[in-house]
Amino acid sequence: MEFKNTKGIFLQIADSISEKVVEGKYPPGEKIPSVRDLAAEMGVNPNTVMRTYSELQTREIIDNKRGVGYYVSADAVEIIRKWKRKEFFEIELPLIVRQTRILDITLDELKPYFESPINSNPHENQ
Amino acid sequence: MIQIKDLHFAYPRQQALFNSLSVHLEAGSITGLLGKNGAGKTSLLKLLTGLLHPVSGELSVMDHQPRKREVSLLNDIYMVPEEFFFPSISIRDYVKAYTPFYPRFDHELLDRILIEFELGNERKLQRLSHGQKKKFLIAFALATRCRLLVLDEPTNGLDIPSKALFRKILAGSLDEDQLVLISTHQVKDVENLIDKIIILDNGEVIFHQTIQEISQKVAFISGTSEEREEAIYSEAVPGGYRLMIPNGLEETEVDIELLFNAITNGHKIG
Amino acid sequence: MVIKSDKAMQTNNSFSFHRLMLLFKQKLIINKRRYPLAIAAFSGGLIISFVFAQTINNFGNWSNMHFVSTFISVFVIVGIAYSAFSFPPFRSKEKSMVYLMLPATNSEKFVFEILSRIVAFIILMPLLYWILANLEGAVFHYYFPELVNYKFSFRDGFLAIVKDGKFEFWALILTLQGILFMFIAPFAGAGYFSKSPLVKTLLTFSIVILSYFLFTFLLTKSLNLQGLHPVGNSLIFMKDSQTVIKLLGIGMVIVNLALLAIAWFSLKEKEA
Repeated sequence: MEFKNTKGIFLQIADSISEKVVEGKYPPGEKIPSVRDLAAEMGVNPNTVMRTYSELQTREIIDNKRGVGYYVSADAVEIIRKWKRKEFFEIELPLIVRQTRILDITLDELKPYFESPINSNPHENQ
Repeated sequence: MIQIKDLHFAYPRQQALFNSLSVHLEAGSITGLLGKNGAGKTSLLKLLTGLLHPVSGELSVMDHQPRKREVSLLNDIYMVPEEFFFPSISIRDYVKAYTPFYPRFDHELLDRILIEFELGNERKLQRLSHGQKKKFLIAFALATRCRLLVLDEPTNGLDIPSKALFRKILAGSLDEDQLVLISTHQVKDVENLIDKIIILDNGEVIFHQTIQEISQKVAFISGTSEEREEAIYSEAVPGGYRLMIPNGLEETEVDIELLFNAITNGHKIG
Repeated sequence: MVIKSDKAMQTNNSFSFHRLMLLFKQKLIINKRRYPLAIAAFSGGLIISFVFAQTINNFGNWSNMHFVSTFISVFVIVGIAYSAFSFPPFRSKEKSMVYLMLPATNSEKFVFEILSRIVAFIILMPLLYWILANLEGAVFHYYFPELVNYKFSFRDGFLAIVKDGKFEFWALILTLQGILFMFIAPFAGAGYFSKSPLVKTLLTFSIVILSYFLFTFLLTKSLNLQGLHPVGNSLIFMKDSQTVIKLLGIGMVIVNLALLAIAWFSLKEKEA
């Protein structure tokens, strides 16, 4: 059995920015905080934030307009979905599958959780 | 910015603290200096700031020999020592008395930090608590805009909210041409703040890598005894083990404590 | 006082008059409460001593000479004590660190200490004494007009002591160097010793002087120079008093310079 491990801090920041993009808090075309501002806001080393930004840039989630700042790219939401889906199937799902096998959980048992609306817990309704 | 080669140093009538210490540091980093008690962290910081004189070896900071205490170096170095003294005057007067010596002093930045730390200009320095004095000194240090900032146990004496505030202020007030050297035992306080780790042990720098290099080479996970087999280093914790393993898939957060114990116990991460 | 930072401040690593002024400004800001208090306490004490001394004399016969002899004792005692407080940061490690890391050159810090400790005292203390003595005299004369000798002048007072009113060149040098020694010795001691510098300085000089006498004593004994008594006759084996004064004068200059050198290197090599 393996516990969920904490991702590297630069990935955590990438996740939180991606989340904000998907949720619409940072819509495409919007300027995101500068490296220094985000570092100050989170109390994280600016070089780490810089690393996050170059990672997001390589994935074409954000664009760097020289001397102006970083902007959410037009296809950001699409790219993030693809990236996160891949991550889900490759990293998170295998862990879940492994756990369900260990605990003898059947697909039927899981079904109600997928059918009920988000944020409600079928356990409580039973 | 800092070049040390074969540095030899001993206190009078004592065994040598450093026999042949070498390290090279560049600007644009917040570096954590770690080491056990008595490893010589404070002594190294004092050698860098010209407060102690090396016996032999090469020691250069921004192309100066610190022991000469030249003004062009002194006005570019600021040290926040662990223990310090303030005259019994107000913050305003202290600022008036000391800032003219620092050509790049940023009064706006000082005012901004003092507001964040809730320190009024009229406060008498002697009447502040130890933690408040330290916060003032940290604010002053950052506002000097000195290229080398040396912080010896900066979070000692800070209350819980101030520690987070310290990280935020430090992360947001630096330029790329600056180097911050933080000596500390409180690794949790500077986690995510430092981007490089130096470990001092037995008078030598036994480890010197960036957080990025570390996290690309090793991962820090929690696990059970079966995974202990492949681990480079492991420690028992409630509910299992904390493990340092060769990195496979994804980078994990660097567990500085575990890393420190692994390195000082003679393990290598390549 | 407004002092702007100039370009020279960034480059000049030898001596900047501007930074020397900044050191004075800093000292005044830090001690802006302490200095007036110290001067007030000193003045009060002095005036009370004047009145006390005059009471003993029934407010008569208080002459310039009395003022001058009081002055000399106050000048010596307070002067030595004040010089012994030179390099105040060296008394603690924390203060030393701040002082040594302050961006001013060693020479600026050294000159500042000499100016603020020795030169300032030699100029300001007699001036203050003169003002206080005359002020006290004037006030007393106002209430007791029968007192005649209320005005104080250093010149008249000293002339009353030095009867012939003339100094030989080397005697003058010797006197001046002796006065300077009085300040420089505790000054150097304060730079060299970290804790209780005055006591250690006095001890050191007692040892040096005693060793000198012991040495000359043993020398005359061993060389069987029966006719010479170095202590009683003359300190150095000279019979001519002029030569003795000259040699002592030169010796004092050398001693003072050596002591200043000790103070300088103490500052330069100080660690914290």
